[in-house]
Amino acid sequence: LNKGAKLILAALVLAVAASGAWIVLGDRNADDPRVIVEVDGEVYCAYDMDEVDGIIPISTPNGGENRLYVQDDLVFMDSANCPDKLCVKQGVIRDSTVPIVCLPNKVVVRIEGRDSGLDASN
Amino acid sequence: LTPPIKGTRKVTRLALLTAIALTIFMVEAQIPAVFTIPGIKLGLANIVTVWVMFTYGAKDAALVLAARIFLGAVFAGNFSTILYSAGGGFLAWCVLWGMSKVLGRKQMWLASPVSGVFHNLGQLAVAAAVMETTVVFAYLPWLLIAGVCAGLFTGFCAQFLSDRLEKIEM
Repeated sequence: LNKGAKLILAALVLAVAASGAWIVLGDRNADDPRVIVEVDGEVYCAYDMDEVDGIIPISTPNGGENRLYVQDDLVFMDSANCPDKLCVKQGVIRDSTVPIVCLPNKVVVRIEGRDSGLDASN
Repeated sequence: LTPPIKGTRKVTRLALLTAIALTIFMVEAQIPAVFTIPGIKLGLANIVTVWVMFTYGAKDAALVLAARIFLGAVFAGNFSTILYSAGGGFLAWCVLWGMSKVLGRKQMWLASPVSGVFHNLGQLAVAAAVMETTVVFAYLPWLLIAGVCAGLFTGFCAQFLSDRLEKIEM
C-alpha cells in the first residue's frame, strides 16, 4: 500500500471507530421521555410517554396517513399509506438513539428527554 | 493496459455494463432487508460503478451510473426514491473519481468503502433537505459503518473481477 492508500485506510478505521463509540456511548435513556412527531420539519404533536397509550393518527398536508402506536416505553409505526412502508418495517424504538422516519410522508417520530424536547419545539 | 475502446465498441460495452448493473440492482431489490435502519443495503450494483471508474474513467462511470439509477427507478416503478439514489450516487461518484486519481487499479477495493460512506451521506443530506429536519442525521453512525462494510464487500468483488478480467481480453 502506498502513502495515499494508508491514509485512506486510517481515515476509514477512525470513522468506523468513532461511529461505534458514538453508538455505544451515546446518551439514549432520557428522563421523562416525550414522543415528538414532526411533519415537514414542524412539530405536529408531542406527548409525555406515560400520558399516551395506543394509536396516534397523523394526517399530513400532502395526503400522508400514518398511525403511530405508543405503549409504555415503546413507540412504533403501526401503519402508513406510503409506498415503501420502511417506517413500519423499522419496528420499535425505545430511546432517543434513532428516530422513525417516513420519508414519503415527511413524518419524523423521535423520543426525547423533557429538557431537550423543549429546545426542539422552539 | 488495454487500448482505449471507442465508437460503437464502447457504446456496446457501456450498454452491456449498464444492463449488468441494472440486473444486479433489481435482483438485490428482491432480497428482504435484514437491518431495520433505513438505507442499509449491500449496493451490489456499485461493483460495476467502481470497476468502470477505474477501467474506463469518470465520464463513462457517470453514464453507466446515471442510466442505472434512472432505469432502476423505472423498473422498480417507484420514482419517490430516485432523489435519494441520485444524491447518494452523485456524491459517491465524485469521491470515487478522486479515489481513482489517488489509488491504483490494484487498490480499487479501498475506493469502494469511501464512496459507500459518501453515498449514504448524500442520501442523508437529501433526506434532511426533503424533510426539512436534521433529525435524520441520527442514522449517520449506523450508515457510516454500514457504508464501510458494504463498500468493502463490493470493493473486493470489483477487485477480484478486475484481476480476473485482466487475464482475458477486455
